[in-house]
Amino acid sequence: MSDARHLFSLDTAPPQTQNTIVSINCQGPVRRRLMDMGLTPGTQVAVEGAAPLGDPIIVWARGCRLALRCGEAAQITVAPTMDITESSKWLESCSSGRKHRHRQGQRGGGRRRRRQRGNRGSM
Amino acid sequence: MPNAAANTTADTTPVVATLPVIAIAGNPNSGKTALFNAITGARQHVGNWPGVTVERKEGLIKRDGNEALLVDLPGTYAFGSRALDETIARDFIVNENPDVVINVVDSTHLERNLYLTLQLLEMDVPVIIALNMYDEANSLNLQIDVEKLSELLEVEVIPTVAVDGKGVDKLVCSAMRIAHANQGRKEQLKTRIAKRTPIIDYGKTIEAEIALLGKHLVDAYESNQGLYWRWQAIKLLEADIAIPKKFESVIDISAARGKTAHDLKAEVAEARARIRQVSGAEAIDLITEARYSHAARIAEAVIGQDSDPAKSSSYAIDRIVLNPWLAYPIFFGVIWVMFKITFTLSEPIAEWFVTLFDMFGSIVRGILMGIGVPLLLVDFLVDGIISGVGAVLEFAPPIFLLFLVISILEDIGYMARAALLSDRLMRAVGLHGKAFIPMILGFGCNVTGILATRSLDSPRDRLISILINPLISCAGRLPVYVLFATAFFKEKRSLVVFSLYAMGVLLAALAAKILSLFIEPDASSTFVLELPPYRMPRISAVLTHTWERGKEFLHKAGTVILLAVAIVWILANMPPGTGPGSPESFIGRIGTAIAPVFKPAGFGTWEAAVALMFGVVAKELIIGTLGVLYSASDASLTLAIQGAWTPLSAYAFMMMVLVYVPCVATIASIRRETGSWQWTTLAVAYTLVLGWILAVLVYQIGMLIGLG
Ligand SMILES: Nc1nc2c(ncn2[C@@H]2O[C@H](COP(=O)(O)OP(=O)(O)OP(=O)(O)O)[C@@H](O)[C@H]2O)c(=O)[nH]1
Ligand SMILES: [Mg+2]
Repeated sequence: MSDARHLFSLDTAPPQTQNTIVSINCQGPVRRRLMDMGLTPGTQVAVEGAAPLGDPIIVWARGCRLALRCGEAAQITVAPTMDITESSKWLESCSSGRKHRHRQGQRGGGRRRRRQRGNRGSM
Repeated sequence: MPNAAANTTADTTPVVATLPVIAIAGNPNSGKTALFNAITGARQHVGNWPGVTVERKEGLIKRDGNEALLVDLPGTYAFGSRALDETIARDFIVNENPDVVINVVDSTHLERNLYLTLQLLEMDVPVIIALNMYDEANSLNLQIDVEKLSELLEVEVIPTVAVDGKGVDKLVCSAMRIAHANQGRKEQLKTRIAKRTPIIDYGKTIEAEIALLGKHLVDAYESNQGLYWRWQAIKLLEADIAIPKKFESVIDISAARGKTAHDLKAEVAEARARIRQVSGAEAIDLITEARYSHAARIAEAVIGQDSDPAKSSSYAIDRIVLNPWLAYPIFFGVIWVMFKITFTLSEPIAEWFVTLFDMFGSIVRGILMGIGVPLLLVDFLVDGIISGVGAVLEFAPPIFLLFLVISILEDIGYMARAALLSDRLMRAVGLHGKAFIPMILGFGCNVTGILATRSLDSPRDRLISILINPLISCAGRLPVYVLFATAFFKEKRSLVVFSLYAMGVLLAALAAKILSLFIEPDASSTFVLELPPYRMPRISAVLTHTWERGKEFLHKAGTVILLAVAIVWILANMPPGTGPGSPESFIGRIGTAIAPVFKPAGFGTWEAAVALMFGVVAKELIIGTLGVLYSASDASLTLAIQGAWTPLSAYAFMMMVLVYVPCVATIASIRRETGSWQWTTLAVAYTLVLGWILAVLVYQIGMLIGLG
């Protein structure tokens, strides 16, 4: 996925940059919980920041805002997704995380749907 | 409040076994209970944090002459989760065969919610999707293509706004239709109704193993189970801890048909080993990833325009609430305001209540005497019942206000932030931030707090949280503090009461620390907490919730407290001939026997001993009992107390009340939630001993430094 030099653990990832999860390095229930909450390899995560005492940290992943402890974040290896220059625009990127995903889905037709929206309106 | 725990069904109609069953399932905080309430008209607890509902609740739906049983379940992120509340939800769906599952999906977190949806669809139970929080999705400008979503998932999708009831009628109609179509069918047939093709393609390697295992299962079942075997095969590959009861029977059947259970288990192990060999990863990881990618693809396909979470107001609010400099001042400020409101605001109303009850007592006495009711009966009614119950009811205002503040905190979304902020502090005592939520709820009622521990992942954290919860001062103890603090510490009364609450929290922390040294740590303790958006508290919801909990207090006053107070009065006036409330009465003799124990704590009166004794039934009874015992001496309760206690012994007494023995309802819930008499005994014993020691320490040290 990425050059080994650019790998770091999620708790040390610079805040407000977009990263891709490379691996989860723990086993058992903790691993299950992390993966069930959507932190699977390949997922885009952005660290929003740390809680006032430095721990836990708050991350964005799959459109959700999760708090997790540094100890657990340390088990998650990530690689930066974007250029450093781009990364300052993290706000944009974390909202449109889907666009940066490697597997490109069926994004076409978005405009068409938006037009349809009009007559469906509210419920 | 005991009823909150004992009553697991909504207060509607008795459960009829033959009704079709509709289950509500979905991620935590997706609006399941709000939907349940909208459908049944019930008033179950709704709150803006994950983990509000921790047990199943049932209610009846009646539509067009049809009836069905609606079951609200705790939220769950995934079927393999270990927290007890999530397990309850999963077990219900897997083992109880609901006729249809309403999957409540939070449309603002579509991708994550679909992960559970896919697991439900895979199970092949009939599913209908409530695309909830549709109003929020609209205001976030998320444009969800509902038809396309329905097409991709091959199930009906109905947008809803549970809190406004929008879309709910349509949802109920569809659910009822499916439920009735399914009802009465044999389990095997029931699952067949929905299907269609496999929802997820797991890729060649895994699909091959699924097919192989599935074939064994089909053989074992002897009947064509369509996609049902596929689900079982996937579950076996996942090594899901959730081996449903049904599987065990499969394994039994395979044993009966010449294939031993061991064979099947060995085959599963081999299949997993082959997958590991080919793809270098565990089957369960691959399956999880495949589900999430599928969920992501669907979300991507149906969401026309992404929202920008960073622009949401919640994010902006959190910049302040979680700001390094402001977070803790706000955190402690919130707690301070909570108590300030409870006392200061309630004071004028409370005083008014006191006058009201006094007047009521004298009016009733006047009337009864006037119409010639025997004196003894008048005394019983006025000095016994009205004084006793009245002494408790006078404290309705602060108690209702306390519930109001807790409801607002729950509704706004601050609970999850409090959990986040307290994590570091909680870690110092061997727990994590999520364990803080049961503590806050414990301020309202320990039974509620103890129930809320079900959402903790680790059994150890849960056990510790249960055992320390009684130290958190509940609303039932509030009347004692208010009465005594007002009687003895006029100016400083809020500070005195606050010190007791703080003491309770500190003792809980200390107890947690000590317990955590003795109870083996386990690996499953994780702190992964979803931060819900801030929501404007809806006045109607907050008031309803406050009322529902306050009602239990009133109910208690009209039942348990009434009864106990009557008993106290009778015992205090027996044997006939003894002066009412004299030490020679039955209750006086009991009290006199216990009283010496409390002598070193400064409140060695028999009245105090009796009050503490009845306080075990319900903490409110401490005041109720004192009300009866001192009512004979015409002066007001406050005056009587001022005569029997000194400020120092009053503080020691409040300390005792704070710590000693949880009330009966709490003891029962400790027993139920720990499932062990040993732990229950420990909880009772350590609080009793600790309470006594602290009360004695307060008094003796106070005497030493000349406060007495
Ligand atoms: N705006 C909006 N808010 C909603 C809607 N449905 C529920 N809510 C709010 O979402 C929060 C969670 O609602 P609950 O019904 O308690 O959620 P739940 O799924 O039962 O949660 P758990 O019991 O914790 O699993 C509450 O604050 C509700 O007021 C909705 O359709 N629109
Ligand atoms: Mg709920």
